[in-house]
Amino acid sequence: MENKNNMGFWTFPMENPEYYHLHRMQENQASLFYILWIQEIHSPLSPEITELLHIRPDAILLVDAYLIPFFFSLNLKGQLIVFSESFCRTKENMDLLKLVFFHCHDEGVVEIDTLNESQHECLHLMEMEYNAPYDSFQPAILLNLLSNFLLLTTSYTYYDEQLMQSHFLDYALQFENLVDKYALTEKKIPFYAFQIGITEKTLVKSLQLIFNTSPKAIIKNRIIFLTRRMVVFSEKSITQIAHEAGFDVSYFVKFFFQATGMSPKAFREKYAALFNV
Amino acid sequence: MSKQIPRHRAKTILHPKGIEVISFEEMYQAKSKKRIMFNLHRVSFYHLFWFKGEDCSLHIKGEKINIENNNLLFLNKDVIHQYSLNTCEGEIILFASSFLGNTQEKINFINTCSLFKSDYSIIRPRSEHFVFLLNTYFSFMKRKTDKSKDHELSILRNNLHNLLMIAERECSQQIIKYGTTFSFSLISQFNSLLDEYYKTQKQVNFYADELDVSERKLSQIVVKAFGITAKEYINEKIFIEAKRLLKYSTFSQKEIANEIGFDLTYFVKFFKKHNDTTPGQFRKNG
Repeated sequence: MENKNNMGFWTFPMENPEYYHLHRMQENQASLFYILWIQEIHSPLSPEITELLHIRPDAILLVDAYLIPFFFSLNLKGQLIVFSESFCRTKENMDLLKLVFFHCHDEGVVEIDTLNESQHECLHLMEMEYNAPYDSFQPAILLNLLSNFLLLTTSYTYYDEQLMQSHFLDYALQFENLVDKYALTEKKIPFYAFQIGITEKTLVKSLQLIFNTSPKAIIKNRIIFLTRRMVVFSEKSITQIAHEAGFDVSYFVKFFFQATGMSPKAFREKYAALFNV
Repeated sequence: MSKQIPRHRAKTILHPKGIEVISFEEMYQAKSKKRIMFNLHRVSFYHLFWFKGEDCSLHIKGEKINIENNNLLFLNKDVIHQYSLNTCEGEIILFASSFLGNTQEKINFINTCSLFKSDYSIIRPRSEHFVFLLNTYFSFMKRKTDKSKDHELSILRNNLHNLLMIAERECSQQIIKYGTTFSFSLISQFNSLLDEYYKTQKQVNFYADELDVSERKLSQIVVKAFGITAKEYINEKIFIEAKRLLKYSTFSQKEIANEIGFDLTYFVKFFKKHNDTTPGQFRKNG
């Protein structure tokens, strides 16, 4: 029987320790999606952080799992919305999710553009609905609100209606799914073009149009993203992770350092410490 | 000869995308609608009214319905109605089933939601919170009106779906139990078969055969969804159609009996069994 705790959607205030219980409950915490709505900042933040992470009142951030404990440590007032991929159910919603969270995969955190109050309104309605007693309508209502939030967000970033209905979008999303699956084992672009059934040239064009980046950059960023997850969330050794990513250890450490400014070991220690608050 | 009540199709008066969100005032100003709305008519799409102000009413099936401030009224398609000439204010959402039902999930919702099963429902807000939600959703929907954009239509659709769900929740309060997906789609198929064949086919086994399930199974599912057996459900459908014809057409009783596939004697007997009056008395009492 479905209920509030297992529908795959949660929202709660940042000051609520329930978050940590949730994380202990979730076996696959890294694959959840996080939307953070910052409302107030209690203690002053260092200028480096504000510059780097766009932390300001009323900002809506998309945050990757590994950074969530860091945000909790900043003593912010705000609302966190967490959901799983399976909560989104339909293909349309999955596609939206991929588009909106695309850059979050690369950078760990992205501030989304809000043009008017509508997006805030969606998040606020989600919070109210989630706090109402559970009934059979609740998942559907929450999903509609989430879908509206994603639609509003994409409409500002990807406003070109014609582009959204073109086959380029379809290719780009197929590539995105394949990269999710194969980034660690297949690093060559022709492999992906072949899987989708298009030429390399078309693939490059599609990704340029939809995500404004190249296939090479996406693959590289996805490797960083996936290894970063493993470093923080798994108990595998760094050597093991390097092998899984198809690198030898010394190259992997160099690669990781270039991307994050930290060695894998230091990175693991920093974020593991945050998790055990 | 019968005097027909005009039935307007969504195509002729509704926006081609199948949705409109307008205020009463705008409605009064729209010429194409004005011609129709103050006369008895029925339309092939749904209405969701939100009345603001004290002195509101609407004529539905020949009855004057008084509506209080902030009430929500859901009017089913094909129900004969007429607007009253008064100073009432409010908002109206007009929508076609093709607009809302773009996914299986939403079609299932239409087929199981109790709002869609009666001619009309009035939802009286029991809390400030509900009024707040109405305000938010209606103003949200009024803002998203560029229907040439697909994503704005999707936003409208999601909002409308949510609005109907919170209305359903408010008026039922009890938790609606959903069956499995199998019974959802079966009920909806049963309903559309019934629309097509009720005049000639009145036996449950015909429908069970068409749907490729046993009679017993079909009846079980219908009982679970509507609380009556499949046979009763079919009879109910015929009875409603008979009442409709008696009230709004000038067909003779014999013609009506013919129309729904009975001979006259059986029709009178059937009608008496369901209503305790004869068709003639029913028509006279209006």
